[in-house]
Amino acid sequence: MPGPIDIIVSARRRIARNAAIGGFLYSVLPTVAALGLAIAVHPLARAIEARHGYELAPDRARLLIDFLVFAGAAALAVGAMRAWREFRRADDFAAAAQEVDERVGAHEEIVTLATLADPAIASEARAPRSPLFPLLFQRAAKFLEGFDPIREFPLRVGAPLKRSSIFAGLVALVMMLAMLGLVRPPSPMQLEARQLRKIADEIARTASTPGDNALAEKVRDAADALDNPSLPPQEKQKKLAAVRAEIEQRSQNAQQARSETGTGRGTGKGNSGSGSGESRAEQRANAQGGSGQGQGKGQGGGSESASNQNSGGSGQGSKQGGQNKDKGGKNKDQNNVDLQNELAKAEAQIETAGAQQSGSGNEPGSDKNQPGPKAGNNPNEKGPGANPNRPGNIPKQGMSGEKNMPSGGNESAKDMGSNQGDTHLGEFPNATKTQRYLKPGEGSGGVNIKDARYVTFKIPNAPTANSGGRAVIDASRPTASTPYVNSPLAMTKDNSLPDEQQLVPPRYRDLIH
Amino acid sequence: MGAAPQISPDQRVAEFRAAFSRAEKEVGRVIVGHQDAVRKLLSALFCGGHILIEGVPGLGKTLMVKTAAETLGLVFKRIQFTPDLMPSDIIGTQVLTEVEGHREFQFKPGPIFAHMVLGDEINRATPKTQSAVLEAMEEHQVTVFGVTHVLEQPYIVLATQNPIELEGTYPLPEAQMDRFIFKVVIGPPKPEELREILNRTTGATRAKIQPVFDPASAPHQIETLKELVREVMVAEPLERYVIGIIGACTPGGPGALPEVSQYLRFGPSPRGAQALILCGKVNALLAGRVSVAYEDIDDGIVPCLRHRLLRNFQAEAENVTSEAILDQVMKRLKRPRA
Repeated sequence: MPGPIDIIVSARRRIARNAAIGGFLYSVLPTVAALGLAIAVHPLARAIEARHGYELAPDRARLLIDFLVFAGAAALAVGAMRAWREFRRADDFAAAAQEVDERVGAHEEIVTLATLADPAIASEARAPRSPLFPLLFQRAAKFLEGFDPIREFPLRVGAPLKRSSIFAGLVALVMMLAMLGLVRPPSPMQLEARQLRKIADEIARTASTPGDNALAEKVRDAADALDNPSLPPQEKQKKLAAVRAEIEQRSQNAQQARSETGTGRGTGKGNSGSGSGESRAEQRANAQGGSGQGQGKGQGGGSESASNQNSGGSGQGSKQGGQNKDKGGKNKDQNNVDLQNELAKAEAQIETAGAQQSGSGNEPGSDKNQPGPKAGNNPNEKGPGANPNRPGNIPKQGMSGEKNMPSGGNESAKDMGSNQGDTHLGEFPNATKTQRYLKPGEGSGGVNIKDARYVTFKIPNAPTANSGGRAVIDASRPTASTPYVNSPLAMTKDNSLPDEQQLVPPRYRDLIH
Repeated sequence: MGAAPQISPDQRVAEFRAAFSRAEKEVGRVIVGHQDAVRKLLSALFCGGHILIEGVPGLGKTLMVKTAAETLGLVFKRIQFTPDLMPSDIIGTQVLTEVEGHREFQFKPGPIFAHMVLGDEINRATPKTQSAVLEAMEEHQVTVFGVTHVLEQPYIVLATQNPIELEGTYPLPEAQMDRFIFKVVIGPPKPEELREILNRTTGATRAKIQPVFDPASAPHQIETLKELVREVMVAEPLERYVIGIIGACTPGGPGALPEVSQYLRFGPSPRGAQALILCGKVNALLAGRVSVAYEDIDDGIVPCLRHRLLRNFQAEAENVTSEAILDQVMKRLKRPRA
């Protein structure tokens, strides 16, 4: 059976260990909270983006994560330091004896025994013991009979965790407030990037060839480029152009393959011809194309497709054919359509952003020495891209619309008369022929707006005055040629008495009538 | 140590408790109430100190001391302090005496030569006379005409003083007050106690006191028990607790309370700390322990320190008593952790 000194030593170890664990526990919840929140930043940002449309920029998210990781590490370090400090403080023989004394209600007899028999003090350094010491030892042993330090000093985790939960809550609150402060509504460019990523994911999901994966990767690159505010617009355009070129290449390859095989490869594309204002004969031709494809699959869905006037050519074919390939083909086509639309929108956004940037430099008063665009000049002289068929390409005044026609144009059809208007603001915008979106198979790389939910147009910037905001007499302003005179004023009736009437000085009497 | 080696420590403790308990019981047969005063009186004896009892006339102060002396089997003498009392009246003097045909001066011991000396109404004597007992109280010896006479042990002075009729009195000097280990204030008896007093003192029979010790061996036995008191152990945190109390009661001292700095001129001397420890030791033995507990110390704070606090003019003007200040100290003082 252990003696009182051994029991006190055991209690001392137990108390010190509990103190160290308790000290460390103070930092557990804050650490877990900080690190957990650091892990949850991206999911939370995604959830906020999905539900409320607000976006946490990657650099801000990184800042937040760094802060949380630092806070977690700091809390961990503080916890370790606190544990060490608590251990050192609690690792005291006399203090442990006092704790034991209070537990057993020994009226300081255990404390007295501990101070007189501390094993850390050499026996020769101790004061001479009282003759009553054996009695004290006996009484202490009696008090400590059945005393179990482990039972008497259990590890209590509740209090430290409860207290530290306040700090953990504070960390979470700060993090939430920081997120609220850091999220921003996404810019149109970021929205486009998001859409492109979605499409890239879809392409990657339905990828059947390595080329699909490469395309998805390029789309992602383009999306990343759009998201990158430090990237110049030209670079973004390049990325988009690369994607577009890839699509065109794939489209050309597909077209070539179709022409070689003579089969309606693009059953799905046949669908896109519906409602595009083509002639009935064309629709029938498309329908036949769909029919041919259906027959090619050996399912005999052609007649139904034809009866549906090409609106369901692909769908019926795939349905009746029971071929998943068709469905996949439709998805791919749909992805291509969406992708092209989104690319066009993205380019338009880049242009808009570029125009806003350049426009902001011409604001009145911003730079008085810099002349603004002059009336009559074409502010859109430089087109947005090489491909005139992109929806982001704005009709330009003074330019031949036929050059923009995707299917080639008749230059003689140009309406020259509409270019003759003259206003003080310059020429009216030249009402060139509007662009026509191409049917599938018509032209190359045309924008297919079937199933597109909307298209984006860019309205030309209004020409700004070159006066720099100052009032300037316009000498060239048209003046009226019709002569005019001022009409005489009506006589006012004076009902006042003659005495109260204003007398007219004699010298004016001849002048005023 | 002087303890008999054949007696075990627990037997010694039991003997102390039994003797103390019996003494209390015997005194209680004569004195109604005032149990705390009786306990402090006996504690002062076993601590080797002296006690100052304050109370209005007629409360049984003198009777208490006489009864205690009778109970303990000690030699008791009483000195009635008056303004014309001379030091030689207390200490004794040289008397020319004829011995075997020739005359010589012989020392005639005064009433101070006893085991228990009652200095009744000590504040009525002049300071010169009061100071005559200083050496006796502290050194347990007197010097007359250059000859030192050692007082027989145990030796205890029990002084009483009347808090009223202060005209023509000489309040005890601080140095002398400090030599009393306890100051006990005796209050008026409760109605039931008064009834019991009437029954005991106005009847035909008087209580017979049974001495606790044999008068022949009483001094030796009491000295043995006094040694036992000194052997009681005190833990280091309790020593710090006592030091903290003294510091808290000392104006300008470490941990002094605002009230202390405001109302006191001087705090307790180291004798106050000694008194607290000794009182705690007696209390521990009475509780059957051989080590002092905090409660043992707390029990002695007021009787040990109340007469050691020197109040200033403001305290007297505002009637702030030493007891009130000590009460504040006890409320605010924290027990030190080991």
